[in-house]
Amino acid sequence: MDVKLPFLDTDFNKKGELKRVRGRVLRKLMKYDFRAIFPALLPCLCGLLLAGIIIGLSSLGMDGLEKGVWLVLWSMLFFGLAFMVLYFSVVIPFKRYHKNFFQEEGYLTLTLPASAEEHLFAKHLSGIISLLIAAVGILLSSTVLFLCSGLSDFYFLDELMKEIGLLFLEAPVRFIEETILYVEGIIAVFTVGGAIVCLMRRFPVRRHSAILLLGVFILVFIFSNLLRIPALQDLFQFFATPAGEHVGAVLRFLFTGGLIVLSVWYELRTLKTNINLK
Amino acid sequence: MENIVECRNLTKRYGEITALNTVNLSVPDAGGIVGLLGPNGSGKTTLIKLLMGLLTPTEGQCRIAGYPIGVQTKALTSYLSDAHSLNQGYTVQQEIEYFYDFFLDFDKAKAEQMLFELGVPFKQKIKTLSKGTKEKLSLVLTLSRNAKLYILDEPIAGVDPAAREYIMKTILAHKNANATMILSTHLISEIEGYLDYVLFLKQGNIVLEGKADDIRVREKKTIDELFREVFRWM
Repeated sequence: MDVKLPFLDTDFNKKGELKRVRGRVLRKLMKYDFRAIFPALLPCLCGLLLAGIIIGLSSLGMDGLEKGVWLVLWSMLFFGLAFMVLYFSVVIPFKRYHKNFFQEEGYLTLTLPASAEEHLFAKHLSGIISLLIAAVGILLSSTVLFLCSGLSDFYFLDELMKEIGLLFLEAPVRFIEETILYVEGIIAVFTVGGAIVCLMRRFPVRRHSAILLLGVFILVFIFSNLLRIPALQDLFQFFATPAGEHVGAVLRFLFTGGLIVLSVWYELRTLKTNINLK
Repeated sequence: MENIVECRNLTKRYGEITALNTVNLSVPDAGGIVGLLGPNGSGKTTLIKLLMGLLTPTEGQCRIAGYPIGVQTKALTSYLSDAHSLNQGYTVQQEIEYFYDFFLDFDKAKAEQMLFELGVPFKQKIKTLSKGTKEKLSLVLTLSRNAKLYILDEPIAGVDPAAREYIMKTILAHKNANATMILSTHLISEIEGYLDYVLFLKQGNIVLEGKADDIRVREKKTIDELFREVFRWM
């Protein structure tokens, strides 16, 4: 049967075969992901930048303990906004991934004339880019805060906490640090969770997909924290030493990185065979 | 005449349950309306999902216009699912743009004209539209593509008789004349007059296949009467 396919000439390679990843389609898929992410992310980024400028400039006329207390208190707002930026840059791509592939909107998304590679690359790239933009935004705002206030880094928080006894701030500061650390874990959940859900061979999946995702999250959380559990640290004395902590961090990084690579490969394979996303 | 859809030894199992059992079918590329008929649970939606690449067959394969199920067949086929698959967070205008971006055969002017005639508000978010308006929007977007094959999964289920008539009239008025349309339903009497070709699906098997007129002459019954006979409760 001689049917003219509704594609552009640029969609085909030199051999006349349809490309597995077409720039045109990838850009369009990413456009709609960004359209969902940025309306929430950009106001937070702008707010963060503005907070950096205002907090920094407002502390210019102060000195010593007064400046320290002022900066510590307002830094709470700054960290709160930074957390929101991270939250939106991670959670929205994750929600879109689930909604587009595994809920009713999947009936439309998965019947678009796009290949599995195009769908997955678009989702992962837009997720990574929004994370990078969030990271750059946080760094930029921090730099602005440092420049305006005349500080060099955030270690002033630790020093001030010891100096003026504001130890109650340790928990939120630690919380922000942990959040940044677990971004890698969240990416792993993003991909492994998707792959496991795909294995269920049903579309659209129902309630148990959420239970599975939660299970995977707990699993990754436990794995990524394994080396930090005191009892295990005692067991592996080496990891309790300063050098061991660094080795532990490298191992965690390698573990998460490996998990991401493995899960992306697995996800691509399962999406192709189980949902026939090709 | 060549076939627009061809399935060979198509089987789909969900664990222990066999939804489709070694189905062989050929739908001619005659530009008519094909009724995919069967009671609830007969395998209609599974067959459609397999044709749309939403499921992978356990065994066998299908081809649309000679292509194996994939990107090419998705580009040639316009699909209306039985679920609310539109992007709920978008406005009607954004959804039109979405279709226009991804489907090169999408006729944007036609979609806008149809929606204007129906009085669908372009700036309203889809999640705020009524169920009926969402269904109309889905139908308009599906029919605004100049596709080679249209697959409509239960387009008249769950709507009142007046709406059914409207839907069928819209389908007939706006369907690409050269394209074939597969329409699944168990409400035979509502679409009897529009059918050119029928496929009876019973417990995952094709039990009857052929031109609607030939079947009526051969069996001396309407398709609706035949359906009631084939699927009569024992």
